[in-house]
Amino acid sequence: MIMVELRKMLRRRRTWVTIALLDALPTLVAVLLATTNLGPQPGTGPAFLSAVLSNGNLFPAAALAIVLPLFLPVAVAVVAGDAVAGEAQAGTLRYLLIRPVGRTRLLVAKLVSVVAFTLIAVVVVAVTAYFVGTHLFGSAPLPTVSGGPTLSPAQATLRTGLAILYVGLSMLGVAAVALLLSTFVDSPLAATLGALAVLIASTVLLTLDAAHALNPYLPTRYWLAFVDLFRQPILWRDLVRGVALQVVYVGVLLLAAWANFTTKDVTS
Amino acid sequence: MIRPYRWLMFAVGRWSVVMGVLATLIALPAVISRLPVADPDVPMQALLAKVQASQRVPYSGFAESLGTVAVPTSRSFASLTDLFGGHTRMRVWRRGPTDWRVDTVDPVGEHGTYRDAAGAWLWDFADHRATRTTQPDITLPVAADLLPAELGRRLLSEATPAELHRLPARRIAGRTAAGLRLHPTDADATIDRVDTWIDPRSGLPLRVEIWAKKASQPAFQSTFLDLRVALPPAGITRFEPPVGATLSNDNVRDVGQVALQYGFGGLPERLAGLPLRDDAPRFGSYGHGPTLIAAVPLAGEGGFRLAHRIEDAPGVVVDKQDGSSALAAGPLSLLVAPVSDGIWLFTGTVTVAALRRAAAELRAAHR
Amino acid sequence: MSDSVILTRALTKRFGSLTAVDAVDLDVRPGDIYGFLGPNGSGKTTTVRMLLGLVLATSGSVELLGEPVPRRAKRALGRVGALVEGPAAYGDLSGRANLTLADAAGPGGPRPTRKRRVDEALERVGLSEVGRRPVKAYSLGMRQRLGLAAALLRRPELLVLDEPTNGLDPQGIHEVRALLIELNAAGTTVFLSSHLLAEVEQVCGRIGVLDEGRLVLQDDVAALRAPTGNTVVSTPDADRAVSLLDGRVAARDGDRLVVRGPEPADLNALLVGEGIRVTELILERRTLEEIVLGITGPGSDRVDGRAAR
Repeated sequence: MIMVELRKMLRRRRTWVTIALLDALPTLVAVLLATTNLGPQPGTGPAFLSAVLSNGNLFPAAALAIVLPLFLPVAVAVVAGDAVAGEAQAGTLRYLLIRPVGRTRLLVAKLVSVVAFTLIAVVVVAVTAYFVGTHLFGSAPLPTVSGGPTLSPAQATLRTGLAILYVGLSMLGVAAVALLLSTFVDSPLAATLGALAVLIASTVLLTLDAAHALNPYLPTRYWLAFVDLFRQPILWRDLVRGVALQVVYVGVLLLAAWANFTTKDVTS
Repeated sequence: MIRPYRWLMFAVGRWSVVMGVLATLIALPAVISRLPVADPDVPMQALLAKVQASQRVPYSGFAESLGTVAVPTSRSFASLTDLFGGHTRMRVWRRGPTDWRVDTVDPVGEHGTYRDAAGAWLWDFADHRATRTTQPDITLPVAADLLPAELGRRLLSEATPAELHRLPARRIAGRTAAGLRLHPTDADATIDRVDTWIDPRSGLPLRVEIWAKKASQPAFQSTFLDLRVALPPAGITRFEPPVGATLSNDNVRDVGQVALQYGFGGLPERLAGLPLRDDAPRFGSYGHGPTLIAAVPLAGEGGFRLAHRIEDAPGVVVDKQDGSSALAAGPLSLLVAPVSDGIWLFTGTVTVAALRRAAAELRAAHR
Repeated sequence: MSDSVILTRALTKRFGSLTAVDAVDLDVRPGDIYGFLGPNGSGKTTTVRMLLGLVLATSGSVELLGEPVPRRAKRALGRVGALVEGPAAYGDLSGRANLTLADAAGPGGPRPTRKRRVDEALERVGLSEVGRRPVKAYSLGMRQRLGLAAALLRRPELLVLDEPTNGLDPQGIHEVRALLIELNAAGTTVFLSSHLLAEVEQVCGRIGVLDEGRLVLQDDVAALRAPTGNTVVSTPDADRAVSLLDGRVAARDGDRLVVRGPEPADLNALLVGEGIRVTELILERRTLEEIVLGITGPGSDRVDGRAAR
């Protein structure tokens, strides 16, 4: 079933249109930076962007930072919100279930397909950004946030790869929320918007000192921790917590999705 | 065979599983934090001695400080606002008193201090700037001073067992830490108490809380979240300016040092009843433990700007007669007052009244 | 366990305060073509969905191919092909791609023979030449055929079809009917849910009639349509016949009389003996339409006073 879902996802045109759009923003930013030569003031704008002008090798990380706060979660919420509700709306859900595909199995396959989509999206963004960045801004060894010597090519590749993976995993929470809502409603749009509402709430609470006690539980809390991969030595603390938090989110929300979906009347 | 509402029961069963898991996850941190901690069996005298001797204990870790003191500042003092009035996350590697590194980590950048025997490198990622200083000790407080190990040791350095009593132990950074409470005895002190939790094996303070009088939360707190008591590798505290960074040599970098250049003039032996300190010549600093007064001439452009900032700050009390402006920010009091030929800043963890006395005494000494 | 292909006991579904299906005991036996009739909104679709484990019963039980549903629905469903409330497919994929995905999903679709199964199913429903066109460009009839092909993919023992001729032209309807009869002859049990009485009448051996959630009739079509004992006589001398048969005429419609009582042969002899001309004389059998309309109320899509009983 997982293979079927993956094939379904890969064969849909929407998948690739979404990824292309996701890719367009950082590419546009790169072209604008290169043509105007106006970088953001140091310390403002997305992480790493101010340093990109002098080193195109930093652009994959900067591109991830550009799509991370909004574009990527929106794309993930769209795909995950569509997972079950989209099948319900198209009427194909009932045919899958009487094929028969177990409801739990269908949920897991959907989640895997959403995760695969996310990873493909971030890899495409990072690889495009690498070519665009090195082409437009030239290439130099990758520096670290902590100053000191630049990273060896092997280290740079490893850390950029880990950053891609981490950003992909950071989307698990959003994906799980959208997937859960997708089992409640028969409209993919409602599930997507619901997930985005959760996301925005989390972002707002994060800036609020009064909500400090909630911080470690907010799904977006550790999103920026991928920057920690570019410190010397790597600061693992938030990265580990970030991954653990996303895994817990997926666990709990998938369990709730399971409880709902396996006991629900499919009347679509 | 006919079981009414079978599926309803089924659904209720599954949702109970979900709720159970959720409740467990939410309750788990609270339960763990309430687990009883066995009090380490170390006499107070020995504990205090260990803290005071912990200067050379090598360690590395991650600490977080949270301050609620709003200090009015000008740009050259901006770092102080962040340190005392905000949230600071620090990574530290300490091999010895003059071989350490402290990084202040923010979400998208980093400020590093790399200390060596001859001085220190200061690194700012956002500006891509590395600065070399050869007088690292003569500065305003920096992040490294707020690490629980450094701050705790400083605050307890002059304490006597008579001022202290024990607090229940706590688990901090995965270690059992013995608690000590220090009550300043000076009448003018604005600090009610300093609570410190100490790793009894290494003597390193793991958590420090500074409480103002009648406060419901600490005015300042600093805690290790991770700690390794072991010698960090040598390379880690060494700094090599990265290619393309802006390099600068900056031996006079803040108001404290400007003040030092202008000189303090004759400082009396005591101000407001507190003795002049003879340790690092930071300012004209008086007092002991957590009860301190600093008297600094405000010279240079930065100094005057700071004076204006304090004079314009909300809640400031201006005395038209002697031309002074006074302000209390939590346990911290500030007074800008003219003293003979110039303007001086008096600040410290004593009441504004004590600062006024100090100003008057200094004026008398300079006359 | 029983011999029945579909067996429900007191199957009930309530949505809130509305009882959609009320204590239904269905019994579909192997080899049947079972017609499941009832006006719109009578609970047919909900019942079909409960049979397939899509909707979970409030109470009562379902056995499908001897397996309890939904507890062990998975074992049974692999041997069932179904078309529920119209076909559905991924619009941007071709019909063939849709069938390939459907075959790959769920158990029992070994990969090496997949292409053959898909080709066979497409051929069965007359879509083998459809090519790579995406399903969203299909006509309603083609979609219906594709849905049928998906139901037939695994050569099911039981076909559950909900309005399978929707959107088909007369030629298509005829093809589907022929296909069902052919499949049934090869041993497939067919459960045909429909509101088209004529369609059911032509192919079904057994029917069940649902009205307002209750199963009001379940019987063999042959038994239902047995002679009623009356004779229908058509005669140009109707007035004379009525006076002759005095009191035995149950109904009159112009030249047509429904006569209770004697055997048709005796009746014929009587009439002819009196010089009454007879143009037609047959045994009365009720049509399915009469039977169903006689026992069911109006559909729920009627919203005047009659429906709101």
